[in-house]
Amino acid sequence: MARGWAAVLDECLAALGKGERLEDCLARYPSYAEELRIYLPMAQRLTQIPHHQPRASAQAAAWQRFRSRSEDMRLGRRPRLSLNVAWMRPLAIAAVLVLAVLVAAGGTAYAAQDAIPSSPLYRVKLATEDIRVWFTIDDGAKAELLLDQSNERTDEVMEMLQRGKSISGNVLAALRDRNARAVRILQDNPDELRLLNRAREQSADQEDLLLALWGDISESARDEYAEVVATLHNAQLRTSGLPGSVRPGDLAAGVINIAGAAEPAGEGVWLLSGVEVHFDLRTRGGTELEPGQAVSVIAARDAEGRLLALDVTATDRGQPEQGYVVSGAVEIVGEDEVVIAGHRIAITERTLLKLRLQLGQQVEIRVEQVDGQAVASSVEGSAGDIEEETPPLLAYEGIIEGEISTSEVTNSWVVGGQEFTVTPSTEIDARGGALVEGARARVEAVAEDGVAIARRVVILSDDPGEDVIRVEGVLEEGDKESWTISGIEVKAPDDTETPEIGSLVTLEGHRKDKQLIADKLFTTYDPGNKGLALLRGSIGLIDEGGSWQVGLVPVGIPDETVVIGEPQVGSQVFIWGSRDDEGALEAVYVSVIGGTPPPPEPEAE
Amino acid sequence: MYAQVLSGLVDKPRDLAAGKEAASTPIDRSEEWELVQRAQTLDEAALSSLYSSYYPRVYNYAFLQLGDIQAAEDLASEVMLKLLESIKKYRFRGTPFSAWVFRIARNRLIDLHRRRKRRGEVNLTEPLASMQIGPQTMAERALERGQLQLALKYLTDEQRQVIVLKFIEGFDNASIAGILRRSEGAIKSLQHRALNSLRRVMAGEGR
Repeated sequence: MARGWAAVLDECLAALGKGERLEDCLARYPSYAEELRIYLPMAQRLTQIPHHQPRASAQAAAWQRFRSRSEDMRLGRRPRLSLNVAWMRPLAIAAVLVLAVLVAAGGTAYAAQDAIPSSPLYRVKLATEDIRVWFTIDDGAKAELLLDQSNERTDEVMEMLQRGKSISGNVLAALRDRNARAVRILQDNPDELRLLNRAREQSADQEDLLLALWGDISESARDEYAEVVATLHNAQLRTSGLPGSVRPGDLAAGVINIAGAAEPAGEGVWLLSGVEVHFDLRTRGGTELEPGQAVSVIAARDAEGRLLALDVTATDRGQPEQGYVVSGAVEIVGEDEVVIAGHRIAITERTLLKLRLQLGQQVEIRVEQVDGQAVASSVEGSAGDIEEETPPLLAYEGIIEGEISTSEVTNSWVVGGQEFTVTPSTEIDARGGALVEGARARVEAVAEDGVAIARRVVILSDDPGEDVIRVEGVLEEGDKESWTISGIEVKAPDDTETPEIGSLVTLEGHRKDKQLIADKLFTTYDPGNKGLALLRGSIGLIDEGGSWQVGLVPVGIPDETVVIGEPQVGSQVFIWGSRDDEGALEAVYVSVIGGTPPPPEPEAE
Repeated sequence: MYAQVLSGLVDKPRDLAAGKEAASTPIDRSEEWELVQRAQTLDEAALSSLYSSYYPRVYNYAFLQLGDIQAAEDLASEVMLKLLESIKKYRFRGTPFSAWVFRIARNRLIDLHRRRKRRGEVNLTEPLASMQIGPQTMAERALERGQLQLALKYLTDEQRQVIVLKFIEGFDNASIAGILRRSEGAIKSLQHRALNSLRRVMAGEGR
């Protein structure tokens, strides 16, 4: 059997390394001779490039950290006790006494090292950490230790998320305290550039994390949440030399996540698709806004509903979006990756993992493309038992009715006669039109205790168009009269057999006397054991052979797929599908978000 | 007892690698597995040996991707700490330990890339342009290493990864597939494209 090009290259490269002549190799593989003559010398030169050597001082410093950490691990400790002990310090005597007490209670302190915030030993853990700080005299070392401890709090937050617990106030308070103390020390030591930079970056990462976690904070910890987010934001301002500060009161009513076109409305005030947002030097992202520019903003909301932009990112609707979302059952769990809908996704240190991944678990993964690789930015789902029912997603399209308020922590919006609760965790994409009564909107929601909680609201157009309601979801209950689709009750279409429970149902209808009446059934699809998978993102490629690429996911589009709208490269699509026999994702129903629906068909499936 | 053990620790790792020879000398798989098993028990000599082998390699890998000495040093240090914290989880299931270490490095690079992208910082796809060295040093290094290395910056990220992992770090295709989470076939195909791109860059044709 003929050897492939790669194997031949490898073999010849090894042979050259052992002193064989190039010509001998070419003679052995005449069919590859032409290519080998070009590439083999180049590959050989690459193998001979000398390695860059790290600076000895950096390598030695890194070794000290490595060695120190290995010592800690051998002793069963977590963060290392600082060695900068000031034995000359008068107060050290008192500290030694305190330490002696701790040694006496050594078992408790030891056991507390792995305590999480919900544990009774957590206070002991924090007290032990405080003593370590107290023993450290050098300012730089003290600031670094506090930043390490602040980072430990981030790990604890992640640990609580993965255990399915709400984030409690004590961990947030401890995070705020460590961070604020470190920054205060560093403000007095402006030469500590490395630590200042670390404090800024770490605070930014922690703020990003917390801004995404509003819904995971326990009710009683909301004040602490406002304080810690303000502190983290201010830490970045202080360490960047920027004036001003965010007050906890600015976050009294949580945060709002909104994307839209910005139009000036006064000094430092912009309308973001109709929503008034204040921008100033405290806003991260530093973008000089231009009228009409599309931006994505996370804003703090105070008790009066005034919005202050904490973070702004310019977005370009003309460019296909790189990020996408995949939902479905976990098929493979690796050490640092997960497979879902046949799609392999890397899990890294910065992945916001809100559960412990298990096979068969229903999850939603936000994916970023990094260097051509799919990397999870967040993973959500039912954190507990995989048997726990995860409410199915509902996609609902209709016209916004009544006034739209963004001023409360949670707001009720009515779309197509259906009430949705909008929380600080709801993502609002108003780039397609203003967030006002009469606009056409698409809401992705889940029903919890009879309330439809909006996860994402997309304004499709200022023009309401035809007054039809479109529903996509999973049949939960049904008879000849009425179906419950992902928590929404719909009067069943006439003369139609009720699909199997668990089937995907997509339909079009209208409201009459508050009742939603199905006029036309687009799809019913029973996925059976294969389960449903969802994909939301931009089309990157449309292949004539009947497949698309959305994000980095190849999607089969067989002839029977129902496609609502006119898909083009760059279109945002929402795909309901299932795995085909070879494990790849095959679309059942595609909604082109903002696209034009096809003419009605005479009969449903 | 601990005091004795701790006092026996050296201040720097043994055999700090002095060059590429030391860094990439192939270690027999069974020897390495034995070394890793000792390191999993936090044996200081085994950890020191792994550190000496891998810190320079990871630094070199990071530098070729980032073109920034400080960032490459930070990344190498982080990777070594992660290696230490995760080594107990490593099981030999056909993936060489070295590929496991470089997968950590690759993940760290991805995270760094995401963080910088999030903050609107320098795009890492133009890594060597921001080298923190003077023009004279740069010219000397270019002469010393030939145009090839400088040409790497004109490749796509994936192509550069394959070139660096394959020809500079000496991984086989299966290991590279594991590090980059691609199939072996995809790596072979990427390798061919990468060499072709490199040839065109060298010939002044662009990618």
